[in-house]
Amino acid sequence: MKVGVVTFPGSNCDADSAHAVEDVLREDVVPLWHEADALPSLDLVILPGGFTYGDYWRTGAMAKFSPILKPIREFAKEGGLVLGICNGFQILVEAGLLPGAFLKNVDQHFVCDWVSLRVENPATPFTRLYRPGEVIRMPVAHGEGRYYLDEAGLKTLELNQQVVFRYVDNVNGSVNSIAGICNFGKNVLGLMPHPERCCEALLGGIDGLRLFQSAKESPAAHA
Amino acid sequence: MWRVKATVKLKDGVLDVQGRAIESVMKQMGYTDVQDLRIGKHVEFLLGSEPSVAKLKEIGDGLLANPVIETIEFSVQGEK
Repeated sequence: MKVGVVTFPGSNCDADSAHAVEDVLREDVVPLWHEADALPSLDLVILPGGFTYGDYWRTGAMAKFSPILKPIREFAKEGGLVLGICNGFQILVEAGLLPGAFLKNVDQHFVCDWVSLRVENPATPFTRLYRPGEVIRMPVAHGEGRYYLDEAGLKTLELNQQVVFRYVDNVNGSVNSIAGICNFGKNVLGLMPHPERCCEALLGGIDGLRLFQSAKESPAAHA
Repeated sequence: MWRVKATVKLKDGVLDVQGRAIESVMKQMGYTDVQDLRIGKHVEFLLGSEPSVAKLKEIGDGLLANPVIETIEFSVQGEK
């Protein structure tokens, strides 16, 4: 499996994402700079966490204009797997690859903690190794994690089973306690928690590992 | 040159936590009757030619404002 990990100016979880893939999953990582206007042959593209462009003006707003978003859009259109973690999720949402928008956490705190998530949809390439309704633990670290979508959009999202992870206790005020969603085609996943930070017991938990393993075993990853 | 000014605001009904934080400080200052404090963003720039509505829409929708959660108002003025 070949996994591209994108670095934007201000990405800071690219190394952790690469580590999870290379050292834990034992698959190939291809580092990608945000100015690349083409992608090599890949099975999965990861947009990692961080503070791209300093979260200036609006989180993820600047990164969506990076040249690499063009080939990523095409890759996603053709069914390629795209995983947006934290700021990566925010970029996917700004870029329109996933619906919605992000706002500052409802209680004005930057939340840095382990949270419990419910796996709402195990029928995606990223969640096949989880049980439906399974409660897992992942760390979050964000100040602008409040996911927002209007009522009509939410209805569609829920109806299409695009809600993949939900907070058991809503840490940031996200509508419908949404922690992670996928696109209609289910090949693009965005989540605010950090699966790459919980792939090794040493770091406090391994519930994130199955997300990467699911992607590895997915037929979409070997198209 | 044309000076473009824009104000970006959160849509009504979207909770503004920054506004809420500042409102509570204002109350502490003694303005106990303050209500509905909401924060917007202001941006100004110069353009070489008068921007069309279509151009402003392009600049507004997606860069300066996120239409899912924000509204944007432009004012355009000719300048030497």
